[in-house]
Amino acid sequence: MLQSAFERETSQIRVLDPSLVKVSRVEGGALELRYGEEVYYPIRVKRAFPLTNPENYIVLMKENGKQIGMIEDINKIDEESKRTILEELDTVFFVPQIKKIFWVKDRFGSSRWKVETDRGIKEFATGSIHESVKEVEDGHIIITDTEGLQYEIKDINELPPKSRAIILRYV
Amino acid sequence: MPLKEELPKEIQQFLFEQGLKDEDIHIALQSDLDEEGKFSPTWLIATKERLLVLKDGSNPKILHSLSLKDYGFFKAEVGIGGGFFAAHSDGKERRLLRFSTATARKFQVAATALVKLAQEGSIPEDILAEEEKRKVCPKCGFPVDPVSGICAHCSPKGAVVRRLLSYIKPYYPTIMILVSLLLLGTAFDVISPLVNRNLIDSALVVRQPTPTDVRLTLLKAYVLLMLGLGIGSMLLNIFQQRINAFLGQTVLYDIRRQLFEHLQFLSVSYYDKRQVGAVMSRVTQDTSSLQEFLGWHIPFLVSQLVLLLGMGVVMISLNWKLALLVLVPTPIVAYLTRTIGRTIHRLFHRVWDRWSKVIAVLNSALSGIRVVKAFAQEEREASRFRQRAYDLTQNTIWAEQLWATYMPPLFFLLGSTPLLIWYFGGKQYILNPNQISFGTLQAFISYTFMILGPIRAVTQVINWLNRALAAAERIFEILDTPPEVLDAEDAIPMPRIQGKVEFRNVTFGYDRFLPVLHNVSFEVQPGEIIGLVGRSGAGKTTIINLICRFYEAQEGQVLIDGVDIRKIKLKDLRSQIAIVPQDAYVFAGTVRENIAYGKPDATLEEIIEAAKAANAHEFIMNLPYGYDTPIGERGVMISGGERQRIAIARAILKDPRILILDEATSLVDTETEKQIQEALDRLMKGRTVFAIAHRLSTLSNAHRLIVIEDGRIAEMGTHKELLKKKGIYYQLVKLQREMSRLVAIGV
Repeated sequence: MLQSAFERETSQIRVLDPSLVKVSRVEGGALELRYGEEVYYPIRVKRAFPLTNPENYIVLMKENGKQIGMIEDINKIDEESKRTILEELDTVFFVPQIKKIFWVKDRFGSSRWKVETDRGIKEFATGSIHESVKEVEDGHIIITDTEGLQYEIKDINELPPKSRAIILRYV
Repeated sequence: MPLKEELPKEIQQFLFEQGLKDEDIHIALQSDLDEEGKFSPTWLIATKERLLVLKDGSNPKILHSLSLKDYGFFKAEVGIGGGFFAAHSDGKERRLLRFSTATARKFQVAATALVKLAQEGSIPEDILAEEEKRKVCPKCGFPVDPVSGICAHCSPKGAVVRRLLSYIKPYYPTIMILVSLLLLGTAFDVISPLVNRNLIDSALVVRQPTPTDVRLTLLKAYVLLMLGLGIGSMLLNIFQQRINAFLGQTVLYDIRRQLFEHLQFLSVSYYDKRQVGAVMSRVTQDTSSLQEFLGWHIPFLVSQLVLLLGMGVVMISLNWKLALLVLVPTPIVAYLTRTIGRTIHRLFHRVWDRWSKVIAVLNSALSGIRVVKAFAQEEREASRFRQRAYDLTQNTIWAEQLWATYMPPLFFLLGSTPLLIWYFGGKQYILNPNQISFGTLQAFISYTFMILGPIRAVTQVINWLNRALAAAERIFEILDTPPEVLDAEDAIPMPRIQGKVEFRNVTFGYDRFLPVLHNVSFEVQPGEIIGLVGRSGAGKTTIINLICRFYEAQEGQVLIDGVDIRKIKLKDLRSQIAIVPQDAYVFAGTVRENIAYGKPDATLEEIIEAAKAANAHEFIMNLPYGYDTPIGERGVMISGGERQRIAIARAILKDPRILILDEATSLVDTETEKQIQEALDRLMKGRTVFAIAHRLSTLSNAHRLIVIEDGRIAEMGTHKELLKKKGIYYQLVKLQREMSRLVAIGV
């Protein structure tokens, strides 16, 4: 019951008024939130639905994980704050987008890949292909490498034909 | 973990120009991301005083430069896929660099190392010695085995082979018999087409006119000889397979037994870092693939190679031109078989994958049928199943059609080499009947079929060898892992522990770079009952793990009766500590065996006494076979509360000096809780007790309470003292009272 006591403490969701949210990067590189009179520094940001709804329900927390509040729609806050938050999210939710697959080599149920992503060219290794390559929904693929890094293909139909032929061997 | 990675020439040169000599550099770590999150290296360089972050490239640039002593601590924060490294001072955070999870680990280590470096001027050896978990082979770039960190492909094989051979050494005489049987059997195989040939040439297709009765006699003789060869070959086969079976299984038993014994003595921490499933597959699959290799593949390989050699010699001595016709095309056929085989294998793997998806829907929908119905989701589940099943159907059709298309041509190809022999051999037979007899022609046809076996062996040998040696290496890696928690050489026997427990400045983390307990100190007198309070993840269970010495503190000391726990004989320690966990585990066995688990020689009276004291006797007597009722896996189903009471009886029978109750009553209803609480009260008398409970009311008889928050002791004292203090404990009690009042008035 102690458990539930703690939960109750955190179960009240505070939805932030988008017009009051001001997030900026201050000296040293960490983020600061000004919300009306309130000032929080340094803050952490996290998406509630990182895969299906990346632009909605973004939670702002103190450094120790205590929640400050939630932004319902990132497009409703001012441009500067939005840019800063997206930048920060990119740091802590780092999923390169695959643009092209150069090759895949298989050996004993594991593979090596060389791909071009929006972050540059990268070689990586995966374990068993059928466990590492997951089709989240039709044509939307997430590949997880041995280091736990994930690579995303939003739509395989947008890949160049050769790359698509390669990925189709595995899904 | 080595924290100094090799710097590229440009960076070395650049640092030298900055006045930094190589020997002053203690930390040099490369991150795989730049400040914009592109895959481009960035370097973290540290000396005793300074810390630099450099952008890599032909023209290095300083991104950050700071003095170590200006910052209190460093932290690597890891999110999904990536994170950042920052320096902290007085609530200020200075971002230094970004990394992806591929390089995150070393920055976590660096965070600890940097503080030590600033304080002590060097990095402690044990940080540098911390084992680095490699996930990818540096040589070939493929993943290594997650349990052992060994690359199956690149590691040297000689040592493994020698060690493997040491297991079959005791069976050398048997192996010699096996080898002779193999050789003899192969000889029979090579000879039989020759007998065939002589039969044709001397009795059927004769060149010189021969009397009929002579031909009939020869025919009889050769058929008898063939019969003899057939029977002989069959007998050899029987003996050889029987010996194979014996040898393979015996060696397998030796390895399996040794492996399991070793696994039992490995520390708990070994199992933290690995999935039980992965370790289990070491015992089951890896040993099986070894057995397969030793018992079947090696004999097969040897016999096929001897066969190839024998056939080669016979064929070349019969007719070298035809011999070449048999030998040359076979590698090509073998290659084609393999390529097509791979494509088809991939397709069928996909079918298998779709199958498991169908099974997943089936499983979740049927096991959760009550939920499905309660939420009226039948139609959705049905449509999910339809979708998956359709996908399976499509893929199966595809794979089977491909199979249907590729296989006949392949068989045709395999069957077409004899055509070469028929044509070229036949031509020779017609044009120069002196050079080749019809029997020889026939023998060659037989050999073209027989050569398929050796070809298969040759194409598979690398695969088999690699798989078996990889399995062997993984097994040996486990056998070579020493238990982390061991008796010290000067371990002190402690036949009777008084029960005084003391923590002195204990800092501990399951991962030493992510501490869970910070500088925890307390002293508990013999016979004292201590309640550990705090939210989940605060560190309560960790304290208990340290008292049991499942783990050892990285800093500070845990003392029992004033003796460092690392100095106490493990057997003495563990035999006097008992744990009643939240979710008690029962082994497959009878009630009696389960209660007497810690004391197998307990008398029947003792067992019944313990069960009575645990309030378990009554329900045990209601089980169909009383104390002899099988429970656990495949046994009679018993409830959580009953399991709990069996665990308490187990603890009572052990008569421990230190008792640990880890949420012992949290999973049962109020009535059962009362019974269990009664049993526990009996059990606690005269022992040192540590009790964890979320329901604070169950801690009412605790002499003192320790409140843990974020791995630190927040409050310590009696119930009254803590209430008077109006701190965390007070708040918790108030909250819970409110809750129970709400429950009481039925909200």
